[in-house]
Amino acid sequence: MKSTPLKNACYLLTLLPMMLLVFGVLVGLPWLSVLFFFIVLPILRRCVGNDLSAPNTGASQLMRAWLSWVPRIYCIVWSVVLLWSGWLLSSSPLSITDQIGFAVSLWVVSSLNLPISHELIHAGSRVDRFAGRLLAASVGYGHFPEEHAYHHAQTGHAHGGDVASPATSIYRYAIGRYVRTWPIAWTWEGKRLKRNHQCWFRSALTYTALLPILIAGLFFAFAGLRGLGCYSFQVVGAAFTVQAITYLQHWGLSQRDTPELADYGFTWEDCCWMQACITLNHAFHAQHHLTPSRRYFELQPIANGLRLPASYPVMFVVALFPKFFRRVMRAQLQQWRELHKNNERAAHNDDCIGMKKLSILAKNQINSQ
Amino acid sequence: MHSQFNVDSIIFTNMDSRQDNTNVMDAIASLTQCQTESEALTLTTTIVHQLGGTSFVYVTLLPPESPLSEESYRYLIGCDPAWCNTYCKHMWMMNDPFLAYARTHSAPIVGSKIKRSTPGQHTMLNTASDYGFRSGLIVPTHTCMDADKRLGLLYIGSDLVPESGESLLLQHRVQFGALGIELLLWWNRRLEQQAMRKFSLIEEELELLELLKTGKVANEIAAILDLKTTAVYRKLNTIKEKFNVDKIHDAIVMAMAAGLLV
Repeated sequence: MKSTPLKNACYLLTLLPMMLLVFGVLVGLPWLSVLFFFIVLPILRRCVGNDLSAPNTGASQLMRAWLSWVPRIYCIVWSVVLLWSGWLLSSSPLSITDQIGFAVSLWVVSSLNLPISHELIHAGSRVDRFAGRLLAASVGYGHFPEEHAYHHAQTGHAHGGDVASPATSIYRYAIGRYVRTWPIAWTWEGKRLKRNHQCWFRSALTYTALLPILIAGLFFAFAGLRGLGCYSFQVVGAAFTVQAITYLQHWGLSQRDTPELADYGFTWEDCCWMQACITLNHAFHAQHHLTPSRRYFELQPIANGLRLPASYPVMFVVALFPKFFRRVMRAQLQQWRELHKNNERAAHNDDCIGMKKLSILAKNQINSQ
Repeated sequence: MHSQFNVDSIIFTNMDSRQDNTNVMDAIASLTQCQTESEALTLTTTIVHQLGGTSFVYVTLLPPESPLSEESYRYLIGCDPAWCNTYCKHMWMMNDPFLAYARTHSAPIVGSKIKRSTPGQHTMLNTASDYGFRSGLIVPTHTCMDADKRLGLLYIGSDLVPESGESLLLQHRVQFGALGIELLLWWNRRLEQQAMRKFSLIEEELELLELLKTGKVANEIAAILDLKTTAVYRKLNTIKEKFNVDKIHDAIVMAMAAGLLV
């Protein structure tokens, strides 16, 4: 897909999983969002292909305004869907299977909140950043802005646990990182408060930590244990998804182990067009790490970058089987490294000036003297 | 709001020479925003062309006296790669008069002003002229006077004969000097970032190492950074872990060798 105007219009597809959630319940198919994300999306990739459209670097003011409104529209629709979910669980008699289907579908939708929240917390406007924080907090991940700022500071660092070492499974990584993100976020926020001479109750983390408790309370009040269980599942599921996506995006890439990826932001990318529309180019991660202030509609896959073997839903499932996942990723990384090495050699023969030789000869000369 | 760097957005206009000069200096200043070697190379090529050069080679290195000299070489190649291969094949680096000049001087100089004393040097320069270096300007840059600090050499070439080409290049020596300095700063910063990532260091830890290097002890550091002494010890242990050493002194030595501490 090469058309930029078409893609600009199709960013509204970000609302599709929410629409499918509602539609699925209405037609008696509560699993619809899950089926779409894990089955239809990978199949559609075969038909639609990769994203080859140009980024909107020179877009008009009107177009930029529209594109800036897409994540805001998402926030509005999500708040309606969240209320509707509470109402549905409190009033509609769903069978156990349908309840499970609905909860898993809602997990897919709430997990997709996080790429949108990610976009908003990087925005220039304070209102957008606040909306991004609330969006993440609504699924129990209110410390997302702080932990994400730390994540940017830690990209490419082998130590510290933000980059998954190849030996670490997704389960161990997800639990370890999630537990660590809370003190990291508090420390990060503490430094900010100290810098600005503010008291702890001025911290945004405090009220964003209260938001999921409030929502859980409302779900419990109106839908009883069924509501509380469903919402708690979202919170756990969304937390796991954030760690899983971070795992996929940075698996095994650090200055120590893969220094050649410094110009590629130490990231794994994916170019699926449909996924790019739904997640607001979240998988074009290299450019994002190189220039975090770049808006989602200005991103594009980096040339000759490291690509995931498949799109996020497929790799998410593959990552659940650590041995297989390691084998697949190692092969892909090895292939990229060889290609990169060949390209580098072809471009300037590693040491085309021969300075290394000169240095060795000079040293020998000094030693002989 | 729309502040990201884009090489394509550096457009030069030809309204008048002052406007031209401003644009070139703006482009040189924007080198700091380049995130990758490829971006830096594209921008440098554009600037060199705008200033009348047709080819260039930029090399930055630690002096041969430095123990890390061998691994310190970094390049930006803005010329026919065949020239580099020929240069290397004939081992001309052993006899390169421009390189020898750059090691001991800091003033830009045109190629014809440097004495060619051997037949090998004549052959080298004759071959260079076939690859876009018919006339040339040598721009050496140095980080500071310390013998172990990084130096840079920007070698600009032009297809014009030395009589006209060199005067054209020399006319822009101020801009080329600025470009050489910006490239050296760009590489210094880039290598520092790489070293920070290599040891997984954050700014706070670097600050702590700086203080340790100046002879401060944990109590004093705690007072300076407004931390508890136990927190300082905890951070020192983390640093030792990151450098994989038993003594913090070894971490300081490694950080200094990586160019992280002045």
